[in-house]
Amino acid sequence: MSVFKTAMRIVWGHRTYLLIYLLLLSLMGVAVAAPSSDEASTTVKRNLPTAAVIDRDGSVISQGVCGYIADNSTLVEILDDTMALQDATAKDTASYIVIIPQGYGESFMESAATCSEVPKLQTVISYSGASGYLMDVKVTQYLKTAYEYARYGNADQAQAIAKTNDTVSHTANVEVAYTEAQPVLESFKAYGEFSVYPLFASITVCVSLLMLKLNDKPVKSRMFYSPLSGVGRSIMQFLACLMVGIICWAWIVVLGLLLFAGDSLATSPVQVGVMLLSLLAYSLVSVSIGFLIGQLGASESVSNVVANIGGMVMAFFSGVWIPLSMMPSGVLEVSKFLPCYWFANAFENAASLPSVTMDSVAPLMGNVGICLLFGVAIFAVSLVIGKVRES
Amino acid sequence: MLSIIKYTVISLLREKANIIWPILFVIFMSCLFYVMFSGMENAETYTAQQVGIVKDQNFENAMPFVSMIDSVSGRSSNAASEEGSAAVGESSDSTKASSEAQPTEGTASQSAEGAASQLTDDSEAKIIDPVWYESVDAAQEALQDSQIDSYIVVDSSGTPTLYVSPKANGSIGTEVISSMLDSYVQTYSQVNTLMSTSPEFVSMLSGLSYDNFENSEIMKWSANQWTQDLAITNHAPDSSARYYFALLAMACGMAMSFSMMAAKSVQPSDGSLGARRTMASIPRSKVILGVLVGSWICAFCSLMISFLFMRYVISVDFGGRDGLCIVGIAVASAMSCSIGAFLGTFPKIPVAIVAAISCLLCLFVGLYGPAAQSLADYITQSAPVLQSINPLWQTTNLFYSLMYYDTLAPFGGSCMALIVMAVVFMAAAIVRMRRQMV
Repeated sequence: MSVFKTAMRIVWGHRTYLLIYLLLLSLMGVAVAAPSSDEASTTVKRNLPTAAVIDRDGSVISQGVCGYIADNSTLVEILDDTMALQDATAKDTASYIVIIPQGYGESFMESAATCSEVPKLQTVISYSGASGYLMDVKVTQYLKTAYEYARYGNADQAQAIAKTNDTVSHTANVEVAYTEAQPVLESFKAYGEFSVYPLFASITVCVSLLMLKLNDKPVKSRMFYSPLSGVGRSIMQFLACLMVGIICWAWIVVLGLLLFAGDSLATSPVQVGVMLLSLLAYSLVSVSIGFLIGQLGASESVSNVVANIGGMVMAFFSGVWIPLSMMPSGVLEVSKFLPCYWFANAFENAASLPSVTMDSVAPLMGNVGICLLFGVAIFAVSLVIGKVRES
Repeated sequence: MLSIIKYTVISLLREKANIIWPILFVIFMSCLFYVMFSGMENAETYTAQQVGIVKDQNFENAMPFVSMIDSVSGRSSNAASEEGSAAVGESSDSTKASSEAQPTEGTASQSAEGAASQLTDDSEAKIIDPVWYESVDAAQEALQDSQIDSYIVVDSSGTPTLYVSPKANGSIGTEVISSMLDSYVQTYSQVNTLMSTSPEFVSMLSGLSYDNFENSEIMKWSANQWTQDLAITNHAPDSSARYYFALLAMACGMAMSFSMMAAKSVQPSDGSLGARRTMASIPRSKVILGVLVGSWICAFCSLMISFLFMRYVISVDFGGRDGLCIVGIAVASAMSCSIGAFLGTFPKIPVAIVAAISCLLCLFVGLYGPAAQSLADYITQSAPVLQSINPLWQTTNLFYSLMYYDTLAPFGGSCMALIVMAVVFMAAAIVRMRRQMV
């Protein structure tokens, strides 16, 4: 027990690391998850783009277009000069910017009367996400509707826009389907997903540092001469490492539950339970990786870099930061050889489990198990390495 | 002083872990980004959304809806257009009939739908990937089992309703499908309005047939391009560039460790060597300056290696202003150098804190995926002052401004901000490193 206590004292002695990695990085997770929308899941949510309109025309047609875009997006204000436009594009302030050139309304009507070529709206569509493109399709549809009224409905600008607005007020019914189980709140999921990085970084740094100090030659020699069996000492050291992992996990989990879980714990306890278990399994994998780094005798700065790179690699390859579906299929194949993939699989699917039955939960627990097996395998490897290095 | 610079560089290089890891970090991460984004370059190529469709009697009766679904799901566009024109043919029959006798509402609306389906069919792109179900129950069960995220049910009046799972509620995929249905409903409504109010429209429709549809007036104007994409920035925006810029900023943050170690080494608190160097018979200003210049050289070189690797091995596009990029890197490494030196004057702060600081500041630069990027954008918009004092944000902004703006004013602005930061921290570091302080 005294080995365990000493080990914990060493960890406490390096509490700056815990403070920096665990506290700071978990607060980063809080910052990332906080803006996630958390409306009740029974109402239909819209995925509206941000858009800006620069109206150089001011005609009834252009006002109609402005109104339509305002109704179907979150409007942002952008000044009409090149610098402001470049700024908005570079900073991605608006997913969709439309510029209505001067005289657009008149030439639109003229084109409708004669069926000649239609004037064009100028657009700047953001490179990120599809919502800008979707907005473009919608605006095109709006223009076509107005054009058709102007051409066949004998309408002037005001009438065409009035009729068009009436037409676009018809929308398809969208309803949220009933599912037996309530999905877990989005913000809790987002927070848990971001935790892939803080958990890995803080646990590996602390564990590898602890191992580094314990493997320090004088410390090691002194412990070697103590009246303690080698096995007992190793078990205690390992328990101390596990403790570090569990403390970090507990911190992340408690913070997440307090800030983001909301009613989820009451409405979907099984899902939250599976999510917490998968996080625990992932924490234990991080412990074994930290143990491995320690066994390899890496220095403090090396373990820092490995913790950071490793945390990011885990986060990128598990698809919690960027969906794996957006990446080449090779990445998906590679990620299956990493524990994070199995963790993320269990975590994300648990969050939106449509029904809680043995059949639906069992595969998720299987994923948690695979993640855990990675931990066991890495731990076994590090024991072998420790043995080889000692001899 | 030259020898101080020389030996600072040599001693920093001797700590191999410190020089290798930051460079390795950038190289490794940029390779990772390269692999990840190689498939995303044509992210605009749209993948069809999977959606369940209940194929019951109501669906079969809503003929125009069927042909609309056929056309958007890319199922034999010929068959679709045949069905469509059949519907249009029907419509012309019914409208002819309508001029002679009172039309029943059913035929009128059916013909309207026929035309509607044709009008919505303005692209050959496959928008949805339908999964067919015999009944609502079967579709609901599939949704319950997570096989599909949403399904469409058509009621007896031919109106579609989209049911989405709580998981897909608010997703962009749902938005695409609901927009598609909106478009159908709207076109249907418009054609109905025009049918009842516009004789021109009715006569235009009755003139349509399968043979002349391709050359018809409707096809002529609806095939027009209605919007035109404008190239507004100096260089075409690239979603992956942001990650590389953020990575360079992180490398710049990590480079603080050079000056931090160098600054520590000339302090009496750093053991006997530090004490000897403090007592040395060289003006203290020369020692401090030499150490700072030496670590700046190291920081600059390590960033240059990272930059050159990204530019020439990964072929990251920096907007074709490589010379100015190097100027930017020089300024950014000066900033990193002086902040590092300042941190180095606190004997109790470990060098490892550099990694943590860089990680934290990088959150607001958007290195950690889209969620972090939207957080960064949100802060940039709502608290620009807060963001502008983030040295790493200013560093990414250097590369951003070179890539996107015609003018060099934003680049100059960021350079100035970095220089101000460098001067402030350097002054603070020098004050703290003076001999009498200790």
